Amino acid sequence: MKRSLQIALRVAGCLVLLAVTLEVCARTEDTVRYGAPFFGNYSMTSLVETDAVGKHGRPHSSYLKWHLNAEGYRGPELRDGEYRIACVGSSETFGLYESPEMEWPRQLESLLNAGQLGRPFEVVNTGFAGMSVGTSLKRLPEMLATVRPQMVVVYPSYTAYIRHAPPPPDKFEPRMVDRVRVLLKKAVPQPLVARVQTWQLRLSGSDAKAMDRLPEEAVEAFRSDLDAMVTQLQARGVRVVLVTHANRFGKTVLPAERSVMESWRKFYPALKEGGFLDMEQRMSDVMRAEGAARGVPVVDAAEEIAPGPKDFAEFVHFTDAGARAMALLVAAEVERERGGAEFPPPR
Amino acid sequence: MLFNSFAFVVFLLLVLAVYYPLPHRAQNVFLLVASCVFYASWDWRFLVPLLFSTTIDFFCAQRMQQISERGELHAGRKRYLLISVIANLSLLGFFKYFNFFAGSMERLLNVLGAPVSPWALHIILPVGISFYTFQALSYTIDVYRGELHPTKSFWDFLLAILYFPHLVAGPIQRAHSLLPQVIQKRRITKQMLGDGVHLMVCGYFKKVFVADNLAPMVNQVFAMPSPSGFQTMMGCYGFAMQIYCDFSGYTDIARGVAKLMGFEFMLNFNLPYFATSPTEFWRRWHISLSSWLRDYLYISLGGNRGAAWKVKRNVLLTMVIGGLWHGAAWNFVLWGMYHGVLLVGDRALKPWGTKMFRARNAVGCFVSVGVRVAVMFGLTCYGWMLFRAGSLHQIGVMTESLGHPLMGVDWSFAGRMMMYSCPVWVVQMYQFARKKLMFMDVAWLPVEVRTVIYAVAVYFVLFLGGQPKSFIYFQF
Repeated sequence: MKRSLQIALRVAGCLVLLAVTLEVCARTEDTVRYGAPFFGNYSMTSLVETDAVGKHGRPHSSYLKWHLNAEGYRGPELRDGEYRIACVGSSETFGLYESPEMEWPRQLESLLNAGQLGRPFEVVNTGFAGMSVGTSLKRLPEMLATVRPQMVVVYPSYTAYIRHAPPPPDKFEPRMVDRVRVLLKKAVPQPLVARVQTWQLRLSGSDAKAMDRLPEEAVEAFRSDLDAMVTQLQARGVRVVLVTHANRFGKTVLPAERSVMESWRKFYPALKEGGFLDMEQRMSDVMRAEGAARGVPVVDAAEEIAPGPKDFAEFVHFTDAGARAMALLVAAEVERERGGAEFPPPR
Repeated sequence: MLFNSFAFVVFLLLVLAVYYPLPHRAQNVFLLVASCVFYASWDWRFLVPLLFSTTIDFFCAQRMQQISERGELHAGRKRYLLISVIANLSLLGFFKYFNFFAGSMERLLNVLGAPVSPWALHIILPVGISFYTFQALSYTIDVYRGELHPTKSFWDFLLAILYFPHLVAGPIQRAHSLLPQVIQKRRITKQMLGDGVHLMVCGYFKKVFVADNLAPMVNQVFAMPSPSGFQTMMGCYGFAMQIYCDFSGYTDIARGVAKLMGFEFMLNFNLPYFATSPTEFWRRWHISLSSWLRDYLYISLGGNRGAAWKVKRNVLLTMVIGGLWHGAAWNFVLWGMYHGVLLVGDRALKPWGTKMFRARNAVGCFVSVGVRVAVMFGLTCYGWMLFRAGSLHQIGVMTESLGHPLMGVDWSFAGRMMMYSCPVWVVQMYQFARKKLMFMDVAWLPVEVRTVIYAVAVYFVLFLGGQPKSFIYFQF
């Protein structure tokens, strides 16, 4: 009995030692590779700070491949004397799965500067994960004051209008946890992950309370925020380009893509799976109508970007190829906007 | 289902969970089913040539035994040996070499002014065919030579061939070593479990951290139309480390998995880059193949018997066939011939070398061994260039560039290569000095320190490995 206890204690001790060593390795790697502090938290939340308006990018912060400039925007520092385009949006604009410098605003800048428009362009990525049009609207005066863009491209995420619980407060989490999560995500087949997520939703009970369809009030709130944003931008003499939201599924969810849809739903349990594409369709219609009513060009990415895994790393976030497809669409619209006439002079 | 995939890890855990509680016979049946699932995960059709080959070999061995027991003529046994050899080599020849020889013949006829229409067929090469064909052949040859008593159970024989850890890339297990382990009840000791886990961790480290991280750098050099001398040197060095870590990593994992189930596989690599001569290199590199070639080909050709020129011919022929075994391409033939020439040269220069490198004290011995190891490693690296090159033209360009080894020096490139290969060198120097491969098996190293070392290795494998790639030797 005593010997068994000794063995059990020794095994438990070795397991603890194993876990501690793995955590030390993870922290050492973060320090060596990214200059992260060895002690304390190091996660995506190190990119965020909160003020009276809400959350925004923390200036000069960095986490893994993400680096924010002095204004708290992803990308290089602002330059002077160039034609400036600001991209407003959520995580799809900020960039999640693309290789560094391959998020669509960066690719848009490269495309425009490689083109024949005759002026160096500067594209500022003001998008941030989780930002709705409403939040962007609150931050608009501040953004216009610091960036002073000649053009704003609005690529909103519709899901911000689904009622959902706020993210849990930042808590201490061993760095190995996130690594293991990423590793499993890569290694475990997607249908299995989706099945586990579906079980989690069922167990949490949120499945029963979910809506079949996004309520009309939410669509109306989006219309109102978008309208207010276009009004403010036009009042400042800023050209506006609206871009409808693209997703991996297009008009229907193919059987092979069903598991990806289930993963998407995991983030927004308040809406049933069938409601997502309906929401995308209705919100895009709002954008098209807004563009027609206000004389604002609309890039129909929802229609133009082909559904499927080539352009989408998961449900809505781009791969490098998807970000390029998006950048090409927007670049074409910028060229059309120019229409041979000069852009307004730089600031 | 690659060893370095998540699917394999899950597969192995499931297999072990079911395997342990079963009695011996049920274990064998279960392993047979699991091995079929493993092999069919590539393509279920691959099972057809394998079953064909094993059925013929089992039948031939049975007939040979019956003839022996009846005391009939030797010629009868020889006939069955020939059936087995012809069936196995025809299978291998068809799947592996048909397109190569047809293409070569077609090019030759075109050059001679007799153009012919293409003969190439769309043949899919069954994974591991070169390995299991040699394994099956060794069985019938051993029975023919009277060195092995054939098994009465077809299923035991099938399991010995099909057993999944060694099926696709060896080690090429001899029937006389593996069959008894299949037939008799296996005993799994604590030591075996520990060694098995140790081998698996080492194997994954070599494959995932070293080989997969070196692969993009090596590919970069071999994709250059005209690399500089320094780049060629780095490319050769990188590939030498990549292929060693890739193949010996696979073997370590296979041996580790086998140990977890109570099987013992033969050693396939014994610090090959510490060889001091070509002869020693082939005693240390891919031992299961080189010993197979020695026992079944070189000796059958006459071995060391006869006139000096005959021995040289036997060596050259064995090495050329050994090169061709690796793949249906002329660069493999050239690589085999290169090693054949090195072996012949080594034999010729041996008396002179023994005098030249005779050391009188410890320092002299150290220097002598160091020089010989370095020279042999350089020769081996050049051989790997022949092996890896995509064409004879590339071999020419790279060989020419070696005339200016310091041209285009890029220390950061060299540094990155050294960074990935350095852990292997450190461990192997320790193994070489200690003359023991199980480097963690030392009494003074507390279990806590070992845990930390394994944890660091696991971290490197899981989070710092290169892009997952197939094992190089799977294509052979």
